[in-house]
Amino acid sequence: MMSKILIAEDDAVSRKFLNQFMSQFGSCDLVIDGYEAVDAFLLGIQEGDPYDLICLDIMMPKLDGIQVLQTIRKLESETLEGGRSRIIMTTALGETEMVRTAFDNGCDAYASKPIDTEKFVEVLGSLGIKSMKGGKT
Amino acid sequence: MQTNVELEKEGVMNIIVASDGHIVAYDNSAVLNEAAAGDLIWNQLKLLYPNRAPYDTYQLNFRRMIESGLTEIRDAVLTLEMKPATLTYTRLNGENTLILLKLEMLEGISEWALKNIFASIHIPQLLLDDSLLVVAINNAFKRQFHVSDSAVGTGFGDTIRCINTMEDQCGHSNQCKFCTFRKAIQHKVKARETVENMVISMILQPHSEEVWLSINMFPITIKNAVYYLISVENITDQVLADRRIHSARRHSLKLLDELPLLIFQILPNGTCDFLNQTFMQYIPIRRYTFDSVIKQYMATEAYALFHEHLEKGMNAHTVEAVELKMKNPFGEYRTMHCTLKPVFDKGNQFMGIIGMMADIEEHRRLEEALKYEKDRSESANRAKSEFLANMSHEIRTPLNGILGMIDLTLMDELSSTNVDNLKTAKECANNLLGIINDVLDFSKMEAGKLTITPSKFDVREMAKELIRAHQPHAMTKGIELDLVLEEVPKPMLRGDVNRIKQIINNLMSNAIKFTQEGSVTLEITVKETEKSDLAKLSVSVVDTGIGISEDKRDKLFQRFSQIDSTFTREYGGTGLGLVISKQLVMFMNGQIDFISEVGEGTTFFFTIPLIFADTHDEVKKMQSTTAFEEDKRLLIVEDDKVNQIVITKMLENIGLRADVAGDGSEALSFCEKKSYDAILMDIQMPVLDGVQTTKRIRSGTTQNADTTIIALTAYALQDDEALFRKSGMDDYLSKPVSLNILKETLDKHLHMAHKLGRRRIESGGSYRDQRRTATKHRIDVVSHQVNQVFRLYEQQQFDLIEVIVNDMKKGLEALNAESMKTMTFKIALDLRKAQYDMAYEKMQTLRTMFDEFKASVPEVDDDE
Repeated sequence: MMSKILIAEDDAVSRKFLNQFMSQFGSCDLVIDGYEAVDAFLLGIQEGDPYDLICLDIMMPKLDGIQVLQTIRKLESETLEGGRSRIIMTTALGETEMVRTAFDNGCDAYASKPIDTEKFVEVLGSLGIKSMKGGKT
Repeated sequence: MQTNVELEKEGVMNIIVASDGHIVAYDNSAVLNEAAAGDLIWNQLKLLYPNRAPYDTYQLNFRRMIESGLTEIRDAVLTLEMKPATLTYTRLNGENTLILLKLEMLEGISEWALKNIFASIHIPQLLLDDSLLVVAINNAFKRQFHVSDSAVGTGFGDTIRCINTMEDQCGHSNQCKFCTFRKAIQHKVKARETVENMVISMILQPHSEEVWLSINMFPITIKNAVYYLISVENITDQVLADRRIHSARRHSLKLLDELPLLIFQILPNGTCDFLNQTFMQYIPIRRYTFDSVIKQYMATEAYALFHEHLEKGMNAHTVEAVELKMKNPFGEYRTMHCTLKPVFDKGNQFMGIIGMMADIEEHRRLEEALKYEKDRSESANRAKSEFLANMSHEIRTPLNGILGMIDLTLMDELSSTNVDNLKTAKECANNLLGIINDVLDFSKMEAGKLTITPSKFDVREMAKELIRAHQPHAMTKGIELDLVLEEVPKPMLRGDVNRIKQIINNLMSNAIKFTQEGSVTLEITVKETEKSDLAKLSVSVVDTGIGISEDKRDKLFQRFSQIDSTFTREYGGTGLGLVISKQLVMFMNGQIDFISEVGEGTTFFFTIPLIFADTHDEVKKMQSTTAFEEDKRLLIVEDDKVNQIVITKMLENIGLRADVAGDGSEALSFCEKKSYDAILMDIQMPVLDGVQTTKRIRSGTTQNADTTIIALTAYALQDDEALFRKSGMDDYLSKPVSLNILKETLDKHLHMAHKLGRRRIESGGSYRDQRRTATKHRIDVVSHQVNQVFRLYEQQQFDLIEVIVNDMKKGLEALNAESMKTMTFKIALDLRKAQYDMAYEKMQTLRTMFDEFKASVPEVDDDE
């Protein structure tokens, strides 16, 4: 079964990279700011096909990644019975404080940019998301 | 004729008059002439003493004498010489009809005159006799002390109602012993001396205030008796006023004494007239020792300086201020701030110099500490800037490799995805290069190493180039890019065209970055000034972007400041662009500013003074279009393998072949064997670096001694350029080298034009038409947009469809068309995933939904 992935990233190049890189793990939707991320998440729920994985950038226009994370977790607790998307924060901000805040708000993993692809694959594996290519990435 | 008239003395005249007024007889001393006998007495008196009142008092008085039955009456007259005289009328014994008229002249200032003067003088006066009893008092005295003539004959104390005399009835009370007045008067009377301005205080009446009297006394002799004329002036008001002034003065003197400043006054003759207590307590100084103590407490130079200023103030009457070191009581030199001010009295007479000294040692130390800290932080900042400037070339070197390898890979047969990815990578590397350039520029400014290199340029060419460079970026955002270039009669200018381009590039990138819809316009004018060769270049970059609010104005030209510095900021960047632009404009003696309105747009404008250049040779050069010749031989001197490949490939691309030398010594041996048309020389190489290699080639005897040598370097400081040129290099290129720049430079030096046509960026489709309707009704806009996305789909302009769809989303949101809004979002998601078929299906669905929506809103006409 192909995973459904949402990538929220305002920087076009990072978006492009993540899209190409993540495509081996599933079908990727791309959004460019925090509002769109929440919109896409809601759309998924409405259509009964929520995202398996959401990659959230922290520095984004309109709503930052942490705010999106909080909103999604809140909406999930109100609408879904136990089910929830896995969320990985992707950011150039590597401060310990920020990492802690992200985990406190319910993210599943944290990857700092530039992304170490090998490590990222490992983390995705631990979250139960496997490459469709099989074998090495 | 019988007469018993006694002749007494001279000056006395006796006249016998009958009761009807006729003169009967007169004595020898009479001044009457012969004709007087038998004449009326008042006629004769009138002749003698005409100064009497105008009416006939002589006749009146005579009649009174006759009719009253009095035996004697007295009258007074003034003689012709204004001397007083008395007239005495006496009825003679038994004889009813005869009157003796006795006329007596008074001697000198008469008792009479004296009395008059005494009575009328306005100063209270009294006359004492030898036994200190009052003989007379004048009117002023009576008024002053509220006494009448009854005071005559009493003691002095009683007369003036001295409280002590009043209580004890005499002048002998205990207090009287201490009565200074009494004592003084008694003493003086005894010694027959005068008293002058003796001031005494007395209480004159019970329960009244003390009065102050000024006493003058001098003895006078009248008819062998000695009297004392005393004037008593009440000066209480004056004394009290004086006292108030005195106490005020004492108060200010006290303030002056207590002020925590060293205060002194030097008279015009150079002596010290005043020192305040603070000064005298600070060091053992007194007025008469002022100069010697000052000399002792000040170092020789400080003392000389003090005197120099003091004399200047004395001579020129100017205010002087000087800082000098003076010892404190502990022998420690302290910095004193000394102010010297000339003083003048009420009559504007120069009164010397008043001086003030304050210990400012602590201020001075603080100032020095601050200055030290400032210098330290400035030098730290400079060190940082130098470090950055040095680092940046270390960063450029690997970047050169990245860009080069990308360019090389792009030359191969690649899948479209690969080409796309590589182009993106190249874009990123170029962006990084831009940032590094910004940082480098900024560091150079901070390190004070920024230089300006003027050259001739065509302002029209510059403008077109700038528009070309920004066209792709503007297109992807759907923004119209316009150029307004007014007719320029003399387009050739002299100035640092690269710096000017850098400024405009910054402004244009910003304008495009912060504009979501509308246009960005570059306006350039060149104006002549009063000086014929001086041009004024004015450039405006006008956008219809988000605008800048007034309160952000100050922040704008500051280093590292982006207006929005929150996590959710929408626009990236180093925040250095405007700072650099401003610095560059200022460096070229220009001015930069902006006007803006939030939501409406922003206009940045700057002006720079430039010089009109001679257009002749420039135009000729631009027209030359010869091709590179295949047989041109070039030498590349470069130690880095990657760069060797990159540059060789680039040259091949232009159609030039090159030999490659791996270091300086290898290059020298190549030069001995072969003649080259140009040498591209790396600077940083092991063993023999580029500068030394160039020097050897230039001073050598090989056929390459005059060959064009172009430096290739990651160094980019202007100072280094000077060094390169000094070593004999003709030009320099900074790494990473772009193909275009390499071509242009070789073109310039080899007088050749490149074969390859410059890759022009064709001006893209204008969106003016679409934007023009932006102000119309939202439905019209969306309607238009719906049609537009289908048109763009046919042209396969998928990026632009996303831009339009995003705009549409905003419009639909305003129309509360939630389901259509969701549809636009889905279209955007599909486009981003490159699922264009699915996007098309959704576009069709959207069109149907929108048509239905329009139909449900009857008043809107569809003009499409």
